[in-house]
Amino acid sequence: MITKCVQCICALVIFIAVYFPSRHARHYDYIHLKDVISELVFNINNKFSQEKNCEYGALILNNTEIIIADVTQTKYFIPPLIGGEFIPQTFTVEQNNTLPFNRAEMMNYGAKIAIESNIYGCSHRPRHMSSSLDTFRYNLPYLTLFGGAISILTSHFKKVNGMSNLFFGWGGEDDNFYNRLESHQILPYRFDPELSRYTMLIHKKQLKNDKRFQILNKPLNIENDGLNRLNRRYLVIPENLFTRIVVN
Amino acid sequence: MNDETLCCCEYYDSLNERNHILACCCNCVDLDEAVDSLIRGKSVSEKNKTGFLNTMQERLRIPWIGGARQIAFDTILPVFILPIMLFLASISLWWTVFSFTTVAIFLLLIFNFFIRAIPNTKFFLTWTVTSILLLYFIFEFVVIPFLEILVEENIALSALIFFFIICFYTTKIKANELAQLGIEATESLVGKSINGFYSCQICNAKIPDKDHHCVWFDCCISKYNQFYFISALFFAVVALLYSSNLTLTSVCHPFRFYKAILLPDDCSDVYYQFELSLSFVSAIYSLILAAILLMLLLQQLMLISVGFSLKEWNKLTFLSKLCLGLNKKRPHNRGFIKNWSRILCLNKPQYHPLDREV
Repeated sequence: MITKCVQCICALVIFIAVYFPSRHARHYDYIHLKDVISELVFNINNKFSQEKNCEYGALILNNTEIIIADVTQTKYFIPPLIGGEFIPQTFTVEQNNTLPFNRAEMMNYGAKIAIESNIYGCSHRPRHMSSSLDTFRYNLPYLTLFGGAISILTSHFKKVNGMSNLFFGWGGEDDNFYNRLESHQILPYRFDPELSRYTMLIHKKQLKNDKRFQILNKPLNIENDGLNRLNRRYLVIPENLFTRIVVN
Repeated sequence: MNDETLCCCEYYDSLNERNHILACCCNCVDLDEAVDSLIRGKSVSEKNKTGFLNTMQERLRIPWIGGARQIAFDTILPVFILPIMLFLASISLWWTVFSFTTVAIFLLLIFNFFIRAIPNTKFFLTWTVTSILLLYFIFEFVVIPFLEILVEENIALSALIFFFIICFYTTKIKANELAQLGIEATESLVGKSINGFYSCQICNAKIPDKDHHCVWFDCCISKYNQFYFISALFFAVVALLYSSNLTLTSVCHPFRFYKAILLPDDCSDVYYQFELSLSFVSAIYSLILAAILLMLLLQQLMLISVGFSLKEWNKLTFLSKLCLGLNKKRPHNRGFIKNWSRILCLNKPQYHPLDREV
């Protein structure tokens, strides 16, 4: 009887150990496609403010996606907003029928397609954008992952004093950043996997940082490590389509 | 000899003395004498050599309930060959090609040798079991920690493996029952020829309606366990293909095929990290196994449909094999539907020793 019980308990322990959820890729909560629009931060002020990353023109979804409604006779064109850091993604919508030009409908079509592709804009909470990466079989390795492509409001980034400067080599900095956000109750979220698909380009991998867990296990030092602890040994070189920053 | 029960690591040796397997390297008289004579500059006597080999064979045991069991050298061989093969194959692409071809050639050479020299060898059964365990452990403890496989995918694979093991086990149990039946039949009909029973030299038994002897399952396959055998093959093929797909899409660069199926397309940098290359190599091994088993499965399905046993099929000429043997006499053929219904419905041989008079 006792041996039977011991065998059962052993089998159960092995079963749980083998199928323990954290040993696997995870399913995660996300903002559904229809709710995505309400989560985006639209900054209608078109002045060149400091929070340049989330400026929108009156009819521009955000500064990387520009919708151009267009019909053969009546062309409707929004001049691309040059000056942002990204090369804008341009969508042209053509009304291919004999009816009079319907600008609003064309706008809706453009917006629909633009929203269904990845959105490079700001949302109310920090957003983990690359949650459906091809090299991870389009799965999320663990729930607190905040690496790869992320988007965050400038105010949030300043609030947690940016990211840590202590991580050399591969790994750890994203988990540290997640911990910083968590300590300020600014929990990141993710959008629909359809909006979060990324392709990892083939790249030479950095050396793994063996000390990363050691640094991660230390208590967070938000005040003395981050955005406010940068030295002045850097150069800013303006190029045609981007700005180069060289740090010594 | 005392009557106390043995612990799982103890055994009685040839002198009827109680021994422990941890003491396997202690107290070998022949080795002592051999080393002694070597140091003295004399040649090692023949008696010492055979004595040493006997002692080694005697002490080669695995822990077992009720005392350590002796194991034959050929039985234990795959336990070393397979991990070494996978380990060497993970070094680089050329090592993969080299170690796989070496093992394949070794198997081809040793196959006929074993069948002739040691007919009842457990070498092939150990090979099967070691492969299953090794592939499963690599999947659970090397591939799963990459955190790229979902729980439900892991559970689905485990279910397939579970079904395979059930079918594998049932095939063997049924084969044992059939062999038992063969013994009963020969006992009740001494001196008379028995219809429908075929003797198997390898398992040394008479099997009713024998199809062939499967060395990898180490049992005879007859009409009465062929359904479980085919199911086992089917689940093995599906499990191997699924696990290799999961592994390859984890370690290689995947792409979406028709939006739903993930397939690997670029495996160029798997050899940079040992875990990656080990997973990759195990997936390749699974694919090779799946291809071989799939061919066996299709052959079985075809042979049942046309009503041949594998033994009869192997005796056919190449030309009649091309015609699927349809031009030859098929003594066991009852037509497509009846052939299949016999496989699917028959559980016990319709044989009553007392009723039959030959």
